Amino acid sequence: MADSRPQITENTENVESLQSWQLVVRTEGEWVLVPSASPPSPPKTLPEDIIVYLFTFIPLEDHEVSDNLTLMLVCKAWNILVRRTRPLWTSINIPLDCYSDFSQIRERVKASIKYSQNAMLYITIQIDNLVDLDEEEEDEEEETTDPSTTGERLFRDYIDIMHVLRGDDGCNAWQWRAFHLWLASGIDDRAALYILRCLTVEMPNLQELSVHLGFSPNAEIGWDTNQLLDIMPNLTALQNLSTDHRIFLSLHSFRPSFIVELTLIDTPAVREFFSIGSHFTALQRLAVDLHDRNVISGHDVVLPMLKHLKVSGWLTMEFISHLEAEKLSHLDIADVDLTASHLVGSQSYPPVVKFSWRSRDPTMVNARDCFYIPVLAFIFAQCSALAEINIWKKHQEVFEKAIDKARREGRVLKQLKTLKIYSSGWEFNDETRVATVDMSNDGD
Amino acid sequence: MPVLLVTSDNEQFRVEKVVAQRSVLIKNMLEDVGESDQPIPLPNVTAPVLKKVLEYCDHHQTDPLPTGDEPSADESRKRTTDISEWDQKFITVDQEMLFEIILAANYLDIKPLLDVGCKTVANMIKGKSPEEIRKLFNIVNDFTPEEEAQIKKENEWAEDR
Repeated sequence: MADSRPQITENTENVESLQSWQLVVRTEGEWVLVPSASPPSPPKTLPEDIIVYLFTFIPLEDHEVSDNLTLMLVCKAWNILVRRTRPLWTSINIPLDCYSDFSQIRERVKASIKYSQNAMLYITIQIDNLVDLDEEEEDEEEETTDPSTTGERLFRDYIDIMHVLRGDDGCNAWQWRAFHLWLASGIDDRAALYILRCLTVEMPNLQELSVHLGFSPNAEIGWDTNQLLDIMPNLTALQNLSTDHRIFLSLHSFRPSFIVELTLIDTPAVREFFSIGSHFTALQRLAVDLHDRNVISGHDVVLPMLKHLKVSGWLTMEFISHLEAEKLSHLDIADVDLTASHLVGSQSYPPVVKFSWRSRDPTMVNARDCFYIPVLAFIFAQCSALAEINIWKKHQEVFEKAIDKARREGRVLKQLKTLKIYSSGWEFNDETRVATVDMSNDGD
Repeated sequence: MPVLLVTSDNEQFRVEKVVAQRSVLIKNMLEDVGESDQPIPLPNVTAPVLKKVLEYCDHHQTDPLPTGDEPSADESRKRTTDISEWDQKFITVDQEMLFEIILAANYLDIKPLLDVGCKTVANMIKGKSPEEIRKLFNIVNDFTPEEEAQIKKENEWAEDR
């Protein structure tokens, strides 16, 4: 009998195990510990549907499909329930790098597809660490330091992963709700290009797209920019397929020193061109079409060579003021709904030389005097290099008043030379220009 | 107009209709019977639990009711487990009461309360090992060592990622 009693020691585990025992007095007056009648396990008092519902709160951003094994190992009932809870399996994080055990990733993806039962998937592919591997193993394994060799292997792995994600029978084909692609600098870009092509032609259900592109100044292992830019129109096409859903191309880590012209537009009617330069160092212009107007905060966007920025939608003056674009000379605003909050906290604006406005009608009676004129005057006061303003004819009076206000309140707009007036068409060009007003002496 | 609720242990609670109607079950019952002084029996809820539930309903009586348009469990990947400060204090109860509240919220069809309960349990589960979860909820490990090994073997993909 004595053998069946738990030994009381200072070992925490043993002490905790005592909780399932209770002290009782036997008839002869001796105190002993015996197994207690365990209280019913609380989760077992819950119906299965509530436990499944409860599980759906577990997958958060930091949840990995592999965490499900923990739940499956709790007890037989949970093992079954976890397999049946589809939301636990729909978020797939695929870290592909030199340290990845590719076969393991493959099996994990397969498990996700199996247990998610054709539910829409949220997929993150993170491609990283090629450079780290090169640095760490440089001395030990000469052969793995060759980026092209490692890149070849990774490329094969990516393609294989994509085939798994697609499914042999096609029933899982691209049933993705969200796709996030993180690409570090210096990786082999072919796989990413392949993935993006797949995405853009075969994923009509995609609601959220995030592409974080690393950038390497080393052209040999960096992005083939022309190839990348070839993909961009496809992203626009994808946006058309996903009517009211959220898609964005994040420029978070995209530091393209070659971007000279950036167009941020959110109106199908004004979706413009896509023209690219022919060489890495001599690209002419890049237009990135953003559907979701809230996604770019601008805080991390560094575009040192940007000269022409076209903005529409809710991309705000705040964005512009955070944009590190010291060479921005043409600010072209279309359909921007300015609010005073956009101006709060703005410390400085890029050295805009040319300002174009094709936006909300500042002649609205209630807003003109109390809002648009002071706001425009404020903007002009920040743009000390401003030389040219382009507007529609119907806005002429408001802009002239704003310019006058800015000049009266400070020694600004010294460089302003012309106010170009256009008909109400969308394009501001010589054909649509109806007048040019000389503004050069108005400030004196 | 007050509503009279009767618990399984035969205790009566007189509450304002707007508070009672946070429960979709009670709301539907009231709509079915129309204006009436008849007490509403709640045979699946005890007095201490109903007292807690009504405390929640009273605090949230002006919240908008769920529309039913919320994404399904399948659709909402990123369910938040954030719980408001008041709700957190409210739900700081012993485990038995926590599960009783969840059951009552489910029975009475008070989805926001059900969510608060489930989020609380989900937060308790996150980051714990199987053994810790068992200990937390007093769950018996009914796997044989062989069965446990088999599950691990089947799910080797999940280990040492």
